[in-house]
Amino acid sequence: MTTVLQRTAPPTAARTWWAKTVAAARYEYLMQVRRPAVWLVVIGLIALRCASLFPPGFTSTTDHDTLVADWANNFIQLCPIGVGAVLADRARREARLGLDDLLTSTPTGIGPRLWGKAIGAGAATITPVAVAWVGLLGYLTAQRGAGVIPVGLAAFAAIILPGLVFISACSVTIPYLTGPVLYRLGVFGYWIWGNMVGPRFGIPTPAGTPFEAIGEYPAGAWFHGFLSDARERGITPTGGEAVLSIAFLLLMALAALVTTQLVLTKRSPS
Amino acid sequence: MNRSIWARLRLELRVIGIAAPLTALAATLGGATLVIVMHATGASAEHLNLAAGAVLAGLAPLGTAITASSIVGRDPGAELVVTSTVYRRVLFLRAGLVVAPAALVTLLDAVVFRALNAWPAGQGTGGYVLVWAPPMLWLVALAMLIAIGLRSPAAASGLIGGLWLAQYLMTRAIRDNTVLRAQYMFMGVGTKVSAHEWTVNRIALSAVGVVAVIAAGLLLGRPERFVGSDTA
Repeated sequence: MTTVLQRTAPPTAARTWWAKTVAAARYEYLMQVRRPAVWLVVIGLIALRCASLFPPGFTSTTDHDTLVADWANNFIQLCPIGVGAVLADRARREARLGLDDLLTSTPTGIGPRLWGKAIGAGAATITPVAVAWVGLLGYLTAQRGAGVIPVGLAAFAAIILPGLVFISACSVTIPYLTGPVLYRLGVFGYWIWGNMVGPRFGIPTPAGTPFEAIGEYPAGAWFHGFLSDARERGITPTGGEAVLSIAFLLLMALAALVTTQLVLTKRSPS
Repeated sequence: MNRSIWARLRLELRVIGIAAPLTALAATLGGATLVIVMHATGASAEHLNLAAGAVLAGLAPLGTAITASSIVGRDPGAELVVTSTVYRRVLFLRAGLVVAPAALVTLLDAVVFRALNAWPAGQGTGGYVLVWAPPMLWLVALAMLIAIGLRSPAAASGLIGGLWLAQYLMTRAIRDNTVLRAQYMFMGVGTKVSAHEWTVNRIALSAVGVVAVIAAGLLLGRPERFVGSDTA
């Protein structure tokens, strides 16, 4: 802890909004990435899903695009629940530790602290996913050659990352309203309802539409990946729909953060 | 029950916060509302039975487990608590304040579902308890064990949520494995099972639940682990 404090330059009123945000993000990143729970939960859930890969037999395909897309599909099925669970207690951490008044008296401001928390803690929680993905790409490169690497990096950016950014943004903002326990239950319910309960269940759901967060549209449109709920709806995603899907998730993440900043600023006594 | 016990229960309820038992109730009551709405809107018998089974064997245990594990690490002055009382007793009492109301309401759900004829296929009167109680014991006990072992409700809720979803996503692989089949919490939901398979599953879930409770109790025998740091 002392080392972290020494390394992080204290933000002052003279510094720019961006410099303060970077400083807050750096501290939040280091704090979150050192939590054993983050690594245990995220890696554990990826390993749990990969113990029984889906769809069966995809690892024998000769198409690099399909291979990495289906691996990405397996990565993202469970780990967003873990990402949400371990980020949910960040929102009210300062209040729980009685630090709100102290932080309010600093020149950093609510905005840089919130954005720093979202960027830093979010990036730290996604770090185990990235590390596991790099490990997988190393394994696939040894098997299939270096041609897997660029496809793998593109698949991570297009299929896995947007959903995790969306869940991360929600997980550092919504718990201000709900508290962490109700949020964890809610994010679990959302993930199943919004991404896995397909139209066959007869319940209105974004699953199988561009507004789901599981990356099915980019996987199907750009990487010939496996389609589940979209196919059930009779849809073969296009490139435009994949862009819409990613843009929707990033805009929702942005909206969650901007709204929370406005609410917190309005509530602030200073 | 005398006045001092009520006072103690009220005190512990204030420590964990009324939101904890209410969150557990929200899961089981929310699921029940969904089934009642489906019944009122004329959903098919197949969908109704599936939804009722999913609420009893899935949603109610999950909500209770996530909420029960959240009470770990709630004592800012843990050193005072552990030096003045048996911490194991305190934590189990608090968990009971979350689990007992949720179990009672889930039992009520089961009675209502049966009255509405929204009932998992092949379940008799024993199903009022057996459909949901063994999965609830299993999931709550594992969640408490993880939360206490790692001193992290966040890890417990993440891992338990993932385990729950993995059971749903990997149903075929689990049911093809003899050992995992005995730990399958959705047994009988949406599919008929033999009496033998059902009995083995219910006993195995309960047995693992009891072992997890004992293990959690043993870990709580070293309460100093909870003193002096933020959760992991």
